[in-house]
Amino acid sequence: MNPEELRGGLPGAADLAGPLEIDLGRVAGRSRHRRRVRYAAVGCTSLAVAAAALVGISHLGGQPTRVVQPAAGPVATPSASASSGVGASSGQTRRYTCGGTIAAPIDPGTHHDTVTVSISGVRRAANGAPLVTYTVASTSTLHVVKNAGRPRVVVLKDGKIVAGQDLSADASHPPVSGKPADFITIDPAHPYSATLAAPIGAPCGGAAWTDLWAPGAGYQVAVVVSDWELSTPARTPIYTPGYVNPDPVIVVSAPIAG
Amino acid sequence: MAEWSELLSELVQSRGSELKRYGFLLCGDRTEASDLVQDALVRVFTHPHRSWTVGDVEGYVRRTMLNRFLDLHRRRARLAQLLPRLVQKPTVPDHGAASAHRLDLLTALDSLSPRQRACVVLRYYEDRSVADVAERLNASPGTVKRHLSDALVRMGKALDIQREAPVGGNK
Repeated sequence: MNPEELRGGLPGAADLAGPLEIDLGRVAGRSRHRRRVRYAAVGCTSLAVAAAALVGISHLGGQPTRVVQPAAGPVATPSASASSGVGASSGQTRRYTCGGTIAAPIDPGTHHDTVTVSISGVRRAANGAPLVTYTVASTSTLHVVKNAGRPRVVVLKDGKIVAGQDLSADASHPPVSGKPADFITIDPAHPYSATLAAPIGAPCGGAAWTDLWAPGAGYQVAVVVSDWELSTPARTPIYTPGYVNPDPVIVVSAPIAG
Repeated sequence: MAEWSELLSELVQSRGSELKRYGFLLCGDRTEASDLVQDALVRVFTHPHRSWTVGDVEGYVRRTMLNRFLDLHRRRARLAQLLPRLVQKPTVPDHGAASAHRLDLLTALDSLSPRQRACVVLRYYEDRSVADVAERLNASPGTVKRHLSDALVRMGKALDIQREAPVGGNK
């Protein structure tokens, strides 16, 4: 068979097809249905991606899920003798990493008049780590956590974290115990003062704790107070496994005197 | 009525018969050709564009028909491998009082593989170049030439057998 013969014969064979018999309404209806299904699938996929992104952000360096709502009652304000918002800068996270900065306190001015946190002393532990004594005073009744390691102590130099950093990517400080928080009640007549546990681990970059105390070294200790540490009975927090670093509401610092 | 619905009506009214002829040559069956056109229309009009013209849409529909035809045959071949006893043999098309020559040509087309058949229809019915056919079938021009050559040989043999059959019968 040659191509020309085929070319000439095919239109004749196509004539046997007859007229097109289709239901236009059915075609339009099926098209509409498929389009709706497609839009629904695209919508669901978008929602799933957005949800996954939100979950990912909250777990990977974003703000942790908060167990305690920001204080509706009395919280805190930095004392006049201590600086607040140490090292605050943009792009901060709730991670405490070597060379990083402490996140800016959230909502720092809301309860400015009710709570005062101050560092009343810094002394040297046997291994050279700083032992910080802090005081919380309040003009109204307040519950302050007294579990070991709370609030957190971080060592800074030029605003950068040099000790007291997170031990690993998901480490809490201190390691989560799973036990309920232990609170003490304070009021205007009874401020609370306690010596906080020294930062765990070793200083960054292979430095020694004793380096902190060298004359003119310029190190500072910072106490990072979150709404974990200041609460009311109605909002008593629980130590929850996986709860890493709560949002700071007050950061106070003091120099380490050599 | 939506803009795309009007375009759909216009396309079916003006080019429906031609689409059916194209589908019929591809699959060799009237009912299947109608289904092929309908499926292609649904698929194309699921993603309508405002800037489409009848010419644009016809091109998309033809392309969709071709892809759908090849997909269907691929699936049928797979099914035939898996369930040889359950798959029915293709029914012989009913062409009524059509001329013997046209029927012979259709029967000869039936002897081709789906890709060979597609090559023949695109090259000799739609009068497309070998390069164009190759692009549509996602194959190389050499492959298309081979398919066309094999198809002509096969169809020639099929036609010879059909022409010889009545002669043998008279003896």
